[in-house]
Amino acid sequence: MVLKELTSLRGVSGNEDAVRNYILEKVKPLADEVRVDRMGNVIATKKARLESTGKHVMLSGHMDEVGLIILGANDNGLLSFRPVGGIDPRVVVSKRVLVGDDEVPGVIGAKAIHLQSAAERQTVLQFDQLYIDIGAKDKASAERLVSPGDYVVFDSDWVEFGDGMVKCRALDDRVGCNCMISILEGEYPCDVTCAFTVQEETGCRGAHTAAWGLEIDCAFALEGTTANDIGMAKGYREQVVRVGDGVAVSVMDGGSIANRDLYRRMCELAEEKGIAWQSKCYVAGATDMSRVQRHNGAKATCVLSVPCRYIHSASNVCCFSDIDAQYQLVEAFLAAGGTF
Amino acid sequence: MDLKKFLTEVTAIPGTPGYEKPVAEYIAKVFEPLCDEVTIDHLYDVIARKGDHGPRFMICAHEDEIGMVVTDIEEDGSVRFTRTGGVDPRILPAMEVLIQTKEGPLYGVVGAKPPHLTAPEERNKSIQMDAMFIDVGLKPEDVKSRVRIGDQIVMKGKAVELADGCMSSKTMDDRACVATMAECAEHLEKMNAPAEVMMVSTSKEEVGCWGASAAAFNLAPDVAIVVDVTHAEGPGTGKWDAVPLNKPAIATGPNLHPMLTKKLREIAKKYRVDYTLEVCPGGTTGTDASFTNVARGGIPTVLISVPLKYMHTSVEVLSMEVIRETGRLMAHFINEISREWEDLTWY
Amino acid sequence: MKDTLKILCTAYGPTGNEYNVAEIIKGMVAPYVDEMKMDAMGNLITVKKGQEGGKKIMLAAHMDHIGFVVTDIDDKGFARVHNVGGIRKANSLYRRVVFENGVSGILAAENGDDANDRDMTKLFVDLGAANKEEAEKMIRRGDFAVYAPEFTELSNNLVAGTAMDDRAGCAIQIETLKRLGETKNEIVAVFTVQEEVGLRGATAAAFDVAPDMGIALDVTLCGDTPKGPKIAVKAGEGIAVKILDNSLICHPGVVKAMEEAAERAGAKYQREVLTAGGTDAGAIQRSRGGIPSGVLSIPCRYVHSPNEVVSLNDMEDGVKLLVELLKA
Repeated sequence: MVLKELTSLRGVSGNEDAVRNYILEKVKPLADEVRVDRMGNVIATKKARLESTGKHVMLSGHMDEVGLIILGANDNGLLSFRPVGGIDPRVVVSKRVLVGDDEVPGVIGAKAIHLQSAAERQTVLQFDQLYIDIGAKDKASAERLVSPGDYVVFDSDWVEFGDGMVKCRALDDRVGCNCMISILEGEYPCDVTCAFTVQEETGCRGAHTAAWGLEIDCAFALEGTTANDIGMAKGYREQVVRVGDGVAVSVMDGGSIANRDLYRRMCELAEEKGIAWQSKCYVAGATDMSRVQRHNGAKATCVLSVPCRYIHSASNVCCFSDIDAQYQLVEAFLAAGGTF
Repeated sequence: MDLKKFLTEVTAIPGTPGYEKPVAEYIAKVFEPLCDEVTIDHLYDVIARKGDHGPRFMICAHEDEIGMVVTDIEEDGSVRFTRTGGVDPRILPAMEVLIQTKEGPLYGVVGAKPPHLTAPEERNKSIQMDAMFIDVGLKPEDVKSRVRIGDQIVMKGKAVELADGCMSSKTMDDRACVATMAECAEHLEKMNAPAEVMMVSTSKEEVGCWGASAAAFNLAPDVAIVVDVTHAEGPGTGKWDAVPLNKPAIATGPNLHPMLTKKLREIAKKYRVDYTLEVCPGGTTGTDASFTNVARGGIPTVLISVPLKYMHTSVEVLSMEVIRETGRLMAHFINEISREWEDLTWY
Repeated sequence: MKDTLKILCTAYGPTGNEYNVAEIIKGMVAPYVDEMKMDAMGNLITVKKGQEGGKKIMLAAHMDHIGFVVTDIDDKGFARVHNVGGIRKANSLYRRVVFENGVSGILAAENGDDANDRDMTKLFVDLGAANKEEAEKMIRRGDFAVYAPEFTELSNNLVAGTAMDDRAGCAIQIETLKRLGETKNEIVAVFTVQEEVGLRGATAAAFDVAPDMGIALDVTLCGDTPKGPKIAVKAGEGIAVKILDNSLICHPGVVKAMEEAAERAGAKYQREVLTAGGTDAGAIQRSRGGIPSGVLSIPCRYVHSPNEVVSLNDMEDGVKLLVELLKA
């Protein structure tokens, strides 16, 4: 399964090589033109195979995931680190990690609860108070295994559970990469370019350059997005989106406002084709569209997301039916020639 | 190049963001004998080109300085101001400044309410910028005729040589890095590198790196090398916040091109340039590198840092040897990379 | 210009939904420009051709207006909203807001909400609906609302109204196109979108237009009201020539050209240093290889409130200055 394989690969922002190499191998036989730009984005274009409407649609999903980076080893052999991308320090304590390209195993520990004072129990441990322990007895021993600048991923494997749910790290946004690979397998009456971008999690930096030189009529970000739908959250205002309710079509987020006509077209298309969908209107966060929309001239854009619980942690949770709905909606739009 | 002379002179020339013309003209003169062609563009970036064939390298070091600007003139003739770039308001009380008026520089001293008139609970707080003013010692009507809203203000400082090859001055950030480019130009001359090198003294870095982003777009180089200052170990610096003063730092992180950064480290080792590795974890490095990197369709960028103590004060301290070593490292990097250009694998 | 301003200020056009305003402006400027086009974001780009050897000058005034977007409709039929652009709650509570389809509601807050913080989660719009179903017949999640239109003439040629920021700039731009006549320079007057969420429309438009110089027309704060903002700008004292704000440092050459044009045209002007905020010129200046840019600011009291106050005299000075500048 492509998605499962994708999530097994390391791809912290700035270190996407493994994901890129896998994707290159997958898309080269499917697309007409595949290139890697100087940022490291994979840009794959497939020309219209059916009678063309003359439209050119861009899809964008990011290869990278949030993770950590090593600053260096301390005298006691513990490694100091910082986050790469938006990670809440509260979610890293007591997690297993893999350090560097050699995947040196480590753990992020903390003082045992028994030893904590009442005040300590109330405070959040910040990144400068946390360490990765690879078992090294001193600095020299640690430096034989890891170097400053090594990237770190959470050690979190693929688990299918519940009602068609899956837990893994990096579902945000390997679901988007997976969707684009599936899309490239099809044939459409319009041109389609899939951009597998780098460094989304550190500020949509890959997307800055991904649309450079492309003449496109519209662009979609295929994303994983925050779902806060279980627990005590009430209404869409707090829940953002609901897992299992279908692909989320965004009105606006912190980085872009959807083109009005494109947004309406996607909602109507989903209704018409009976594809499960929900509108998303949570004004925070940003996607690659925040760059693609306006970096080199105005583009009509929209964001289509798979709801994802516990995003930016070691355990992303998504629902297979939502992953499928995202694909169905993109496929329907392309099959209709990319008009809006 | 007479490094001490250059630093002494260049740090004394005003060049607040947007108003870099005087310092740009000085820098252009310094680079003219070292390069094939020197131009100043419409944003006051100085572009010094050396070589005319082979891969195209752009080196960026910024020429602008943090400063202040006049916002209002009070009835009593005191001059109100705000900052352009990251001036720390705590360093301002009693600072000597020069207001760049249309008739030339006007001397003044930054004033604030004296401590014995300040309530005891306020004395422990730093003074906010809007509670300060500049005293130019003139009658109110004379102040109003000489000073205009929008006039630029620079700190007044003096370059001094310290022990062990150190030097202190205002605006070492980032004029010292401009000096590394001049050093680099001298080495390139000897190496006869098959490259076209554009040494750009960029404008407006302190307010968002516009100069570098414009230059990267206009020049469309194959590779960008950015030189900027970083925090050197000093009083109060955290263990992972600062690097040793006495060697250049090579930066690594998501922003910087992995293959080129690796090459840079190998070349440093080969030519015995002692360096520290500086990890930049965030999405951006807070330097011109963050902008050259995403210009046009993406320009592979490396970042070299010159360690500096007391950044953004009028007494910034650095080691002159680091400037020489940084220039030498860049020259070797350009020379080696351009000779094996066709064989490089970018990803 | 007053009539133009009134039509523009009372038109519906929240950030991201400027289509309606663009249509109105199209009708107004059509006789005075050579070309018009809408780009994919909704920027209205109008071109007045120049002659050989002239420069390409881009003008930018933004059409969008701060507002609200519906994030959810609760079971009792109240619409939950989030701000679009820099809304201050204290300026907005218990005001009437309107949607594109003409539906009105009252913007209110839950009891105990602090009107001075930035938390928008306790705001809602009361549509009078009895329940969710009724409300959903009127509006949908993702619909946008703005302050209900206002336009009042005060004394001394001051006018108060909604969306002076930046329909006042649009009005100056329209009036300038009307009066300009033949010029050597090519004038690309862009009515931009989405300025209030980060100069987004101008970012895209500046790239497409690729001008030699950029000028934004926008409002700025006034320091002339009781305990007003700390800024040396007064309403009625002339158009303001910006030195800097948070988004750009105006090119010294452009500032000089503006001041000289003002002297020649006999337009009253004042210098402006704004320590907050930004304008489309910030986006233009950073586009491509850097474009020398400046801003003409209309002094405006109570910016981002439902009654923003500007002086028609200042706007007139703005038109005079701009016409003179573009001719040169």
